[in-house]
Amino acid sequence: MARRPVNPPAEGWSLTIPHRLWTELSAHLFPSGGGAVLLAGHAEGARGPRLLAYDLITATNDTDYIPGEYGHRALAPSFVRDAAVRARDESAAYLAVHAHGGLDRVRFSSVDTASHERGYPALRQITGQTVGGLVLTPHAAAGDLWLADGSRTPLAETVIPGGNLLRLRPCPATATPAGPDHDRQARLLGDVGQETLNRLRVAVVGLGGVGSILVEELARLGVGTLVLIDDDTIEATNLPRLVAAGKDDIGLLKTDLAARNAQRANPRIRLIPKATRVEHPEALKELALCDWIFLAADSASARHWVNATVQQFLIPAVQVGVKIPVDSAGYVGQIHTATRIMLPGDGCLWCNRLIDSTQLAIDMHPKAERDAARYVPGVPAPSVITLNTLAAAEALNHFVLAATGLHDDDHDHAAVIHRPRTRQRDLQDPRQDANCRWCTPAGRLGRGDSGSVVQTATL
Amino acid sequence: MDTAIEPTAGQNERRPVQVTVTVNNQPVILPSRELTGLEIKQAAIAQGVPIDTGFQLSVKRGNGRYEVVDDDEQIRVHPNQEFLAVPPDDNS
Ligand SMILES: [Zn+2]
Ligand SMILES: [Zn+2]
Repeated sequence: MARRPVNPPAEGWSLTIPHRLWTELSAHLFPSGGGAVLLAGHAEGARGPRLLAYDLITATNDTDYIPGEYGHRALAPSFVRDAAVRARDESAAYLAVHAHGGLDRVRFSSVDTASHERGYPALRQITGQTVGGLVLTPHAAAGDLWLADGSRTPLAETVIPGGNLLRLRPCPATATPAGPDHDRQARLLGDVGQETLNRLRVAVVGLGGVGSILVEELARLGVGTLVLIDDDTIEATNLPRLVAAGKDDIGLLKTDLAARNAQRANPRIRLIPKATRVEHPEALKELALCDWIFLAADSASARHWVNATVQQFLIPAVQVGVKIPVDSAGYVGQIHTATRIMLPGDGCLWCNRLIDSTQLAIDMHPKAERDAARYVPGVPAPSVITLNTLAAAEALNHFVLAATGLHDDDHDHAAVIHRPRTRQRDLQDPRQDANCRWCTPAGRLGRGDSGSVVQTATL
Repeated sequence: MDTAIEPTAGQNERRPVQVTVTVNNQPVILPSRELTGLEIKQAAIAQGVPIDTGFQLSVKRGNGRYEVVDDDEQIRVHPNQEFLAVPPDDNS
């Protein structure tokens, strides 16, 4: 297939479609041209309001998708009614979808627009929600939104977080030439790829051995905004693993060190440090506005809250971990690093048994109680900068290639398990529980602001 | 019938009936208990609901399901009854 245009994030209203829904929708629309309705939650975003698609209602040809009265085809009134009733009952946006020919450009026809003007004021009254139309080609998307407040606005972009982080617009973005600083990098990523990095808002949760490397490299890559989350301070035993840390930094917040390093790497970077645990409402609020999250904290609570944010707000993340099993006799087991891509709508950390609910329950108590609840007093786990680097590099490379559309496969998002002792590197596909309350439409997938993560995360 | 006595108001004469229902969540006052689907849409249009007579009308039944009401189909309405009117969504 022809190379797809790479579009930097756009300002304005956006729609995010989980890659599984996109795959299902694409198979329904291309090349035969079916009709469908997407249901979507709402959330605020860094560049404008976001619609978060969580379920797809496909119209069956000949019964739900019929010859049109004015146009070529039409969604049958009973199908429109039932979808609108679902949107109303679930407080969801209603988006009618169809496809046009062509590849890199798309716009509504006059028949499409006339149909919106005829029907959407009524659908908006029925649902009390945003309603609209979406027209697609495999590489482009245009949307016409009729907002609940009575106004009407175009959709700036449609985002599909998969193996590649796709962004579709009505027509390809024109590139702003990258500055001379990033010339060598832009020779791979393209000017639009470089501009994409600059417009992204990326969070790093956990600023220890792995997070410290992530921050340094993200800043040097030219990522425009970093959200830095960690409530810890630097101890003497951290110094060998923290980028550019010195003895004078002992006692300093890890967010301060990370901010200093990021600033030095890129003086124009925008930084949002949060010296709190990730479940603090302020941290969660910042996370929900991000385009990408790196999870480099190993606690059950960090895993749980990031997992919840990924699914509820449709934000892709990568979990980075290093496991070094050494028993009390000094026996070294199979060391491994794991880089797990967490995609909305896909087998989540709960589905993959990667959150320990007992540990999570302990983590959610105040610090003194947490320490008392642990049977074994904290023996520090081994940690080595070279192993952290291995895991961090895998996660960063995945991110750069995904953000600039350079992965060969749009949908491959297997985890990478690296075993340095045997020099093996394996791919692991995530599994999904059919009715997971986080990563399926039966759960919090794409529900965005209609219930905060904090309120809905009762264990 | 031919009688010498004029019927008095409130007895034999049918009092003008008004039934308020909703069409697309908007209150609509109907002039009778028995109307066709088309008459319900026309009343809604006259009262500012943004639909046209080509829309498909449905009525909400007791089981919570919607049932289509044809233009020439006469139905008996009751207060607060809920109707939805939607068009086909044409595209090209
Ligand atoms: Zn799940
Ligand atoms: Zn069209």
